[in-house]
Amino acid sequence: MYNKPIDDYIEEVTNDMGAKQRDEVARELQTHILDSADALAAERKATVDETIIREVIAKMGPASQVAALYPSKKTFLELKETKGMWDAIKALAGIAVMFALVGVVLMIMAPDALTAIPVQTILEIVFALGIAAFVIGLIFFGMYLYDTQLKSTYEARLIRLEKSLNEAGSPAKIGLTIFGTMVWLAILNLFWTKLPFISSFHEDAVLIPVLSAAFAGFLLWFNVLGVLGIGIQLLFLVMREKWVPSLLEAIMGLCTAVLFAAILVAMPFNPALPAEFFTGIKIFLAIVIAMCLFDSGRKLWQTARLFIHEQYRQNSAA
Amino acid sequence: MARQVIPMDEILERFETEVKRGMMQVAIMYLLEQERYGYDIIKCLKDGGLGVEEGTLYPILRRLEDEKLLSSRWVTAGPRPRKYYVITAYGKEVRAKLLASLKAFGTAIERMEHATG
Repeated sequence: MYNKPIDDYIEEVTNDMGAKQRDEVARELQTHILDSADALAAERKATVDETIIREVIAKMGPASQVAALYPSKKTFLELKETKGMWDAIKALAGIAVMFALVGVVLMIMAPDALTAIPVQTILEIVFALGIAAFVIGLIFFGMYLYDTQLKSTYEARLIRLEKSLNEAGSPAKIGLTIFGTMVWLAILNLFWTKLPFISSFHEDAVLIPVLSAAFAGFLLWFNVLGVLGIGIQLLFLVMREKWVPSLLEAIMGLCTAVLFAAILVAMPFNPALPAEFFTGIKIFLAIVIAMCLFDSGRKLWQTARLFIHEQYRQNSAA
Repeated sequence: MARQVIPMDEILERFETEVKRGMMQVAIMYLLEQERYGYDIIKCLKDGGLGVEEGTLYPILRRLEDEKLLSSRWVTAGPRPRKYYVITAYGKEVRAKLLASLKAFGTAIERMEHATG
């Protein structure tokens, strides 16, 4: 494909721009290059290829010169939105320094006065102001980092979206997930009664089963969710609207969280296990539930993106 | 040390670039009486005899937009997203002044040319 020369040129032009300007300029230049390439190809009764793209880019002018022509934007520290925060940090740091100076001056010039205002109080005020300046500074640094480094460009977002779309229907990923689910279900069904743990943390410990007979009631639900999970993966292969199985996956994530919550309440474990095990397993189950909910939220976000992208693609095709 | 003579082509090219930049701004403001996008503007400029390096148009548009002489909107309905520009009311006022200024420069140069014979 001929995307690389376009990306390289745009990257060079937009290299020193802020994230917002970079996005806009990149979109505009890309559209222009492609429009110009279409026109040139039509003129020559040919199709757009890398040679045409390179010719169009040459007509754009050197990237460094084009970049230099863009009006320079205010730096992050000069922006109105961040200036207030910067002023607050300076004011807090200034007050802290003033307090410290007053303390030092009092200590040297009038040590008697310090009996009325304990040194400890001055130190605490200076410390508190310092902490406040540090926290604001940290937020400030985070904003700066986000604006200059992490905020992704339009192209980067498109590439990521395209990748996630391809991954959602990737046969390799689907095959691996189905295989993993089947192995997990087989192990659970065959060995759940034998899954061992030590009876105590002392020398006389023996291995005893972890799960009690009450777990049999939950096993059915694990199997149902497993089979449904396999079905959903197959839907990814056969359906064009990938958002449907993605939504089902999100719902299944919620169901799994509910199942683990039920296990946390019922605690179908061997009562002969040590008390430390029960504490550990409760923490473990809480983490699993949180992960299931997080995963479900992530899948829901993916569903929304797939839905919007598919609608946009359909509209474009129409 | 003898000064190096700069070739005439180079001098002309630099002069044209400098003059063209100002002229282009006025030309663009006239073209944007109706809504147009980048490639369309380039085509019109070329047809009007103001061919430029295509990449230089966008920084000018950006500057004019920052100065509120142009307004813009993204249209995503077509095969690819396009940013359409149009002149603002303030832009029209400025355009009239710029044109008057350009004409005054031309007249001044002509007058000087006649005076020196």
